[in-house]
Amino acid sequence: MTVNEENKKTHYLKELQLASSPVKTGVSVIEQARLKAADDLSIWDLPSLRDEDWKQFPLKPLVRKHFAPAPVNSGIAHSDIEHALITEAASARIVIVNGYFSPELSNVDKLPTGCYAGPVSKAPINVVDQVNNFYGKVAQYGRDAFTAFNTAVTHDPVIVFVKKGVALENPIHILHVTDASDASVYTAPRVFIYAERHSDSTVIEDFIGKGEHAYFTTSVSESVLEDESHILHVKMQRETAEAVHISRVASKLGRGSNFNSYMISNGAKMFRNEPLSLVDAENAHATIDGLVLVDQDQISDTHSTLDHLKPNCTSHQLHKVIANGRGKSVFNGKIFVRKDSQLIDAFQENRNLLLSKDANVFTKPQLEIFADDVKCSHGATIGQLSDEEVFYMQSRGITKSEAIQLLTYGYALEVIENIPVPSLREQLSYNVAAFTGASIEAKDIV
Amino acid sequence: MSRLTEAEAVDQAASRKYKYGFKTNIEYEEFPRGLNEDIIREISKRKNEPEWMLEFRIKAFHHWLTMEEPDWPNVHYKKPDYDQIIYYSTPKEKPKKQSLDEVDPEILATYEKLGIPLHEQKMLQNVAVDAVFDSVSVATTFKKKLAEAGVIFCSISEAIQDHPELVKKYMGSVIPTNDNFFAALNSAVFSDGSFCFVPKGVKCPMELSTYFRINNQDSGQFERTLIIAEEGAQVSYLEGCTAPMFDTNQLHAAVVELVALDDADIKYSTVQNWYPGDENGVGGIYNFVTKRGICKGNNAKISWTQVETGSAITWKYPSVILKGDNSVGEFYSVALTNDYQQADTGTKMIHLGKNTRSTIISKGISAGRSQNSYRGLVKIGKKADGARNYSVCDSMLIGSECGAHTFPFIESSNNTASVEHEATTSKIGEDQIFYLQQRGLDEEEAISLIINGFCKEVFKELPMEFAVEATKLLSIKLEGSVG
Repeated sequence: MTVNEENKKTHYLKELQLASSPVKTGVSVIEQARLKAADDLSIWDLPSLRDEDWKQFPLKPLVRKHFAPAPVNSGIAHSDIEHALITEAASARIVIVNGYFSPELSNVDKLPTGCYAGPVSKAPINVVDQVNNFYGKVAQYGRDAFTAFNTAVTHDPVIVFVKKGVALENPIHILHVTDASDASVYTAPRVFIYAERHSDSTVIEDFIGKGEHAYFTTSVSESVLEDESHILHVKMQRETAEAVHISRVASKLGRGSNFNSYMISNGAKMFRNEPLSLVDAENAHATIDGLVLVDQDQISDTHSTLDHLKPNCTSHQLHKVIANGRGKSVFNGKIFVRKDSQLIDAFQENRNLLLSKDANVFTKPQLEIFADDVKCSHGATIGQLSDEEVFYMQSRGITKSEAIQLLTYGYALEVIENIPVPSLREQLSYNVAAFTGASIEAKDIV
Repeated sequence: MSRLTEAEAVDQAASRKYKYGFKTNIEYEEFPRGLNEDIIREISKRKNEPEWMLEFRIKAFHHWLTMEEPDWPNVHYKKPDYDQIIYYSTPKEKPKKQSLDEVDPEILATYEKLGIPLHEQKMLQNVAVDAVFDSVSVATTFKKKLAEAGVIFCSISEAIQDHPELVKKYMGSVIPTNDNFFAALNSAVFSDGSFCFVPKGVKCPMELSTYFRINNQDSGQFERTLIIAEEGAQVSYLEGCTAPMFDTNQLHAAVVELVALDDADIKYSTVQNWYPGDENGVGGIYNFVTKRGICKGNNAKISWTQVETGSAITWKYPSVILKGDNSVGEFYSVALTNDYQQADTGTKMIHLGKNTRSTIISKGISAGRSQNSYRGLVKIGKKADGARNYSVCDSMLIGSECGAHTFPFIESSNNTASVEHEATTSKIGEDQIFYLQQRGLDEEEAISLIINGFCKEVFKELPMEFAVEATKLLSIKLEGSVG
């Protein structure tokens, strides 16, 4: 493309960014990154269908609409978020409304001493130190337009800091609410999680919306794991049917650390997840599991990267998809094993269930191995429910539609059942059941 | 004496001979370097081609001009200078050697290991052979047998002269002239190649492999192959040879088209062992091939088998378009890379018809500092009810300097189809080697045995005698790379 053409193009994200007035955090690294990213946006354009990684994710529906920065004063009340609350996290709840921290709806009083969860502007100095060290380096905003956009316009990033040796008893629930009742808006929530040595924590990031208007969310979450620490990360995307959701969940693993990530997505009109795990020290383990439910005209796109930079690490990825209606699901799972990263054991599995005639699935598992003493495998299947299984259930007196619902439900549970938060599992089970149309009773829930 | 100097020596000997004027000068007039419309017209004229063939070439050339050399494959090389290539030269007759004693002993040793019969060794090295094994007489017998069955098997230039209606109907029907950069180039300048037509209901009386092997000739830089199997016909074709081939043309851009009508069955096997460059990655052939078959009719079957061990860069994706209902596509591949070789190979299975089935078995072995990639596409169209695909791609790494990559693309738009793909990457287990050493095998034998087990699923698809040679070929290729 010539310079002239380049100049004529309107930079969509740059325009959106110019309209924003992000809250000043007072943290130098965040402000510097903001300026740098804003600069980058005036050079970069949105990826097009010609980019291999964006081939199946047309951005037209996004670009056709204009989104304004979401306002700070919003009418979101407790009753609006009640359905999404998690009982176990009652004392560790952070609610972000339209990208702004909401002190009224949040509750983080009972965290152990030395731990912190809340906006960076109120964080203690030792926490800010770690933010200064790692912010932006894990999610790598220099790599793509949307992460840069988030870096430029995010307000006051949420920080979770778990002190050395502390095992948090209860999960921390970060609930992002976007209010699109009055207009089309955009938000750019950002989360930074820092786990000190030997700590153990569960963080649930949750995205919901309100209102009939379209809205656009770019979210970025970064996790840094010190040696021997453990983070269990759940990302739930249950936005409204008009939302466009683009997110990156990045993590950097220290020696012997363990990062378990589960992404459950069934909302939004179109959404894209980009998990990125840098397994950067020996004996670390990363899990990035995902469950995607698409129906009607929904488009889902998952581009994951598992990068093994050091020897003796293990990873596990199970990505399950159920596509109904005219839904479309895209999966590209990259696994890298760098030179001299010997004795890596990496496993990746992608299963796709097509329930309707018009659903589409595109999948591209990808292994790139530069070390010889490794055990890496991937598998991908696209198919439908087995006739025999359905017949078996029918012969036991279950109707065909019920049998299909039950089997689909069982198929989805493989991902959900690993999440160790009972009330969340329950909510997710209901979500899946609602999707498949199965009727479940409380006693059936795993 | 190194292998390359041997090739040079042959060239020198060849030019000496021409000086004495066995052939007239005009026939050896070389074309100017580079490519333009005049050159194409001249090629077409020399080959005495009909007007439509020239149009075909010119059209392809104009497409080619608008295209860019692709850079998406996972290979790195210096792009050839297309203005420096001589696009046409009349085949040279190589000097006959008196006996095998004149041949580089290193090459003979390789033949010995491959178990190539003596008379074939002579053939391959252009040594005058005695009357009993005279290739011409053998070939004539074969030709007679084929003609009796009604099979047309000749060079594509002959086919253009003798069977223009067939060539016109099918050439470019599977790989259009504007398909890709290298296919367009080939369509514009192709020199020669093979043409095979098996009429309705005929089962080709012999493996065309056998014939081809005896008749082994310089395939040329821009080879073009077209195979047509009519209703119910069956044919098996083998291209290439396990014996090492030295060629001074660096760029090879061949096109192979297969057409299978109702109930037809085409089996196409390739063994490629071209010059891969020296151990420092200098020189070697760029092998950029477009191969595609179409199962046009119902119940048709196309099967590709390839053993790729040579070339500095291999870049090919033998594909099958499964258009007819119940048609079957198969792809079996072993790709071995050593030293600085790079291979980006795989297949495409495009399911369009109902109940179409495809199988992909790909085995990649990388050693030395080589890079080996599998890239494949399985696409299930909207109307391909009940389509099935099963793919396995396994990679094995030998040494810590090489790389193995897999890029499978799977796309499905039909909810009654099922696609399964699995891939593994591993190394040869120390316990496996130890176990075999315990049983009295040395390390190299043990590795060779394990590698052959790894590739067995593919080798069993090859015609018998080639399977035996391919097995040996792999162990020769890997000699000294382990330890």
